[in-house]
Amino acid sequence: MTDIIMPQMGESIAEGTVTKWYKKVGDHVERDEPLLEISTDKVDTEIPAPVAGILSAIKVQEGETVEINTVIGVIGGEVQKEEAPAAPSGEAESTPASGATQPIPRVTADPTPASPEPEASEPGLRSSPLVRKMAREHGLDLSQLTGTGRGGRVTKHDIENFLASPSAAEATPVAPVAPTPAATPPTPAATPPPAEAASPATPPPLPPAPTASPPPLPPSPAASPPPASQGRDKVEPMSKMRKSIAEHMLISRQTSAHVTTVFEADVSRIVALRNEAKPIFERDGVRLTYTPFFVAAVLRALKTFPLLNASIDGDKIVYHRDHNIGIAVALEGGLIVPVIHDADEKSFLGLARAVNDVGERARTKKLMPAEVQGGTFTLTNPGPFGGLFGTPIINQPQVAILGIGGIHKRPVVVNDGIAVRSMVYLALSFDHRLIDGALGDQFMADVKRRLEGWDEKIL
Amino acid sequence: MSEVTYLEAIRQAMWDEMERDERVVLLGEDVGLYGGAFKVTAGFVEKFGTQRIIDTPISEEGFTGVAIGAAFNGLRPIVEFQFIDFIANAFNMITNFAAKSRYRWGAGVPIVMRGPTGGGVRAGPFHSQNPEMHFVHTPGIKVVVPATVADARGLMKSAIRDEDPVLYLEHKKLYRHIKVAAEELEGQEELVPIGKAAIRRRGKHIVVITYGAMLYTALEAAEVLAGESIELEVIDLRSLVPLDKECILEAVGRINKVILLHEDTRTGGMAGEIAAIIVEEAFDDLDGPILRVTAPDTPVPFAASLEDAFIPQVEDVVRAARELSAY
Amino acid sequence: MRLGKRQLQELLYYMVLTRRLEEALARLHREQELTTPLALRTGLEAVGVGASFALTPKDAIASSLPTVGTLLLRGVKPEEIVLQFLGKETSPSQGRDGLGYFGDLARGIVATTGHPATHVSVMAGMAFAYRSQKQERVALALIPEEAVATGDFHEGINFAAVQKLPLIIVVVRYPSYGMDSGVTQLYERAKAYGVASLPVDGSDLVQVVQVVETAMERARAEDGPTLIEAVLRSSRRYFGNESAIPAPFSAGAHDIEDDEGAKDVDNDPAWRFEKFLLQQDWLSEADRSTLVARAEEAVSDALRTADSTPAPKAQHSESAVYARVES
Repeated sequence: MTDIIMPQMGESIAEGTVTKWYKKVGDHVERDEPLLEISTDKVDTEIPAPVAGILSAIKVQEGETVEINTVIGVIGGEVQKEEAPAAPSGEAESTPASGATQPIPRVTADPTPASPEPEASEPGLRSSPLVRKMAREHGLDLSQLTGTGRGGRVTKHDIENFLASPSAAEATPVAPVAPTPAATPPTPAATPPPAEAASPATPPPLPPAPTASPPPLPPSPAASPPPASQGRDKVEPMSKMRKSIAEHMLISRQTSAHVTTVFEADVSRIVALRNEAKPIFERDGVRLTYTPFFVAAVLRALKTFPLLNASIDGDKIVYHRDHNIGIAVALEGGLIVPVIHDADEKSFLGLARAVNDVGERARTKKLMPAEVQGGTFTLTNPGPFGGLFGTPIINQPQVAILGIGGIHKRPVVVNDGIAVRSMVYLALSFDHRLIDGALGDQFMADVKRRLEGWDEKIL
Repeated sequence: MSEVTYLEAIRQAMWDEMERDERVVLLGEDVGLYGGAFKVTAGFVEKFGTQRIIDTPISEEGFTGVAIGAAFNGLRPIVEFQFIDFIANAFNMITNFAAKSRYRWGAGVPIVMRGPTGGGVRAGPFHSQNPEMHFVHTPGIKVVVPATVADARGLMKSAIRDEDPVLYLEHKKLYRHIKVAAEELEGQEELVPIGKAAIRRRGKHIVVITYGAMLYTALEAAEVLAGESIELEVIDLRSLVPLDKECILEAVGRINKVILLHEDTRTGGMAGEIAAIIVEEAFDDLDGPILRVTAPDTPVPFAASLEDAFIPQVEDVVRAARELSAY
Repeated sequence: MRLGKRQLQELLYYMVLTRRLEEALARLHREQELTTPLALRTGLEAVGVGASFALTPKDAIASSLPTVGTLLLRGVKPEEIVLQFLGKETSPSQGRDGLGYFGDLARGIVATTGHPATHVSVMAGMAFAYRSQKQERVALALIPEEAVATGDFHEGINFAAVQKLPLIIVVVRYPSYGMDSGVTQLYERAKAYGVASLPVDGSDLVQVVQVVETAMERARAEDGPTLIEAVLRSSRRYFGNESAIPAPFSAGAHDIEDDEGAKDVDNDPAWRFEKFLLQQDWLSEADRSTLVARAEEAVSDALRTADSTPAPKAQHSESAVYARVES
């Protein structure tokens, strides 16, 4: 008996994936005849048979990844029944499957004519791609299940029922390849893919392929941090979102010549207007915040100063026709910038609704990928914990970002008297490669003027 | 309270865009003085004049060419085909000129080609066709198929603002049958992005992927099946090119059983293309065969009894869903 | 327009350059370096160069006759033409098209398709847009005689006639190349559309320039389209129809440049124009040699550039199909 092991294909290679077995259990192989194909981080290669003989066992199935030096198959010795991965046959008796439970070795040439119900007599042998995938992931032997589909076919429903049944815990081996939503029924039908890994720096990578819906419950053990016992520090891997934010912040800093200008605006009129309109908006189901006022003022200023709604492409200036406004939303452990597309096409109510909507869905991770892409200008809000203003980092490939500080009442001089007014600091970071200081300040003066002299009907 | 029909939404969108952008012009047979065979452009020539609303001779190839040339020189023409069946006469101009100019020599062709499609109105083989696949198969053209009032408006606006040739397929049976309250339409987005499908009904057992007037057939079937505890999800594709693969694959990932429904004929239809995508990219998510419910491979017949047998009906969808549910 | 000596010499230069460049392309085709279906129409220099010369830079031309003179006069460099024909990486269409039907809106050149009259209505559309935007510009469509048999020609000229557009159609009659138009005096056909038309000696550069200028004046005066029938005198066929091999059925086929003995001085447009200038003393023998040497150098430079330019990298340029590819 000769074990075939997963070879080490390079110094840094720790694991490999079996991509194809060229032989079946029971086949004869010559020495050095290609036996299987593997794929690692570095190379894809064929593995020849180390000796001549009968392939008696395949221990690692196609598509599975194992550490180097793992036994992946055996040549010589007794031909072993081809088994589902990690499904010890001894456990079969504890399953709730009916009558004929022992998998029947496939007979290739059956001389007897098909019986009227041939499918029913071989439960589990007919299934579907989905069912076979679920079986692989949960280490199930399909022949142990009772199929309720046509002709005794095992359906997704059958697997879900089986997994939910009390005996499933016993019957199911412990190490599924990967947790799937199907393992924890019922999956909420309406959950869109999570908008993960977003950052203000660039449009985030696409969320995972929609076919892999979010694992709703406990994190897989494989994903937990390494033991924190090396010294006194706690070490944990960055989340994907954190990594992405880190990367994009740095890229933005390296890309743009950041300059920040700070203005102060008297928003007393807006505060009054908002307080007055709030209950009316509430009747429409819209929670009126200050954000839509700032968005509306910015949109008008952008139309006057289109260079702020532009991008740099090599040595060209790209003026964006669309006005897609990003609104930075803080999340636990990160932030995301949903984008209100064609914000200039919306009424004030529409803007208020859109601000609510993207904010809410950002927090509940229900944004679609397109909704965090294509922004042409971004607003961020460093004020909620009392900060006066911040110097935000530009969301590439945009050229400016407006930070809105907290709105606070302050004594200010009005007509040589001292009055108490609602004031806000507005900090604009802009890309000095494209925008001169004077232009940045003119833009800000325009925003300030529009906020202070707000004259737009909002109802 | 006033209501807005599907037809009125198309009309309103074109009107708005013509007011918004003076580069938008409209040409076709009888679009001016007569106001269009279906009265989609009634009142336009009075408002916009004969230099923007152009009555053309019956010459689909010719006036499509005119639209292309005008687009090269900065206009944004909308071409009306009185019945979409006659787009066949402009096939060369659309597929060889409009579709390939950007690729060959960088000249974009921002035109909208629109007209009434589809059957169900007893109009026979030359006034009932669904020509989408000729153009879906031609790289360089976008194809949109609005089914709702809001989409009729929103996709038209997006199509007019698009930089590429867009084929905008209206369903004549929806023109006056589908309507919403004006107020409801007010609250909807004015621009509907091209290339995004919409989920019109949530369900967990079978997803029906469709477009155009068949949306309503699918929704009715879903009502019927709800009484049998078979929950249909219904996806309205809205755009055939670009196709919202993401939406399709996401739904297949959740629901695992798929029915593809369209009014167009079967062979070489959109259903076959989508089935291929699902099998290539989501094979492991399938818990049953992908079923197609489509018209058969014949011309659209005239007599009511024949036409009803030709166009997929609610019962056809219900039957397919039962079969797939039991699989 | 009054032409001075320098201009006349420059025109002769473009005639010679056109001839030399087309001969070079024909050689490349024979050597099978050039694979595109090549239907050179050498012998048309007076029409291509003349029509293009008469236009101003803001006008536009489209030609389904690959006479490179039309392009050279619009500022296209010989090397661009050779690169395009050979499908090289830096060709104007980056190898995506190889036909000489080549376009660049910035230089007022609209690319046609492989069919002879598709562009007539497109140029009518350009003319329509000129007028509706109150631009004093003219669109010119150059077509071969066989084009008048197509529906495209009639749909296009009809629209231009109905709308009285600033469009000029130049139809070339070449007794040697024609594909059986079956009519002797094509310009008569325009009368049916109420379009002004006239014939011109297509082998005489000066006459071509004058007639096109007259048509341009009509266009600017809003008198509508003009059809010009340019009749070639020479019955000599330089090349076969679908490829640039010497006409197989003409005895003693050979390169034109070796054809000194058989110079058809009275009918060949280039020789004839040269003789005319020499006779009038507007060209000396020394001028002539300099001019020919310059043209030959320009051609060999272009060939050298093409030789050292790589083919495009193998890739799918799908992103070139639409203005914006949705993610």
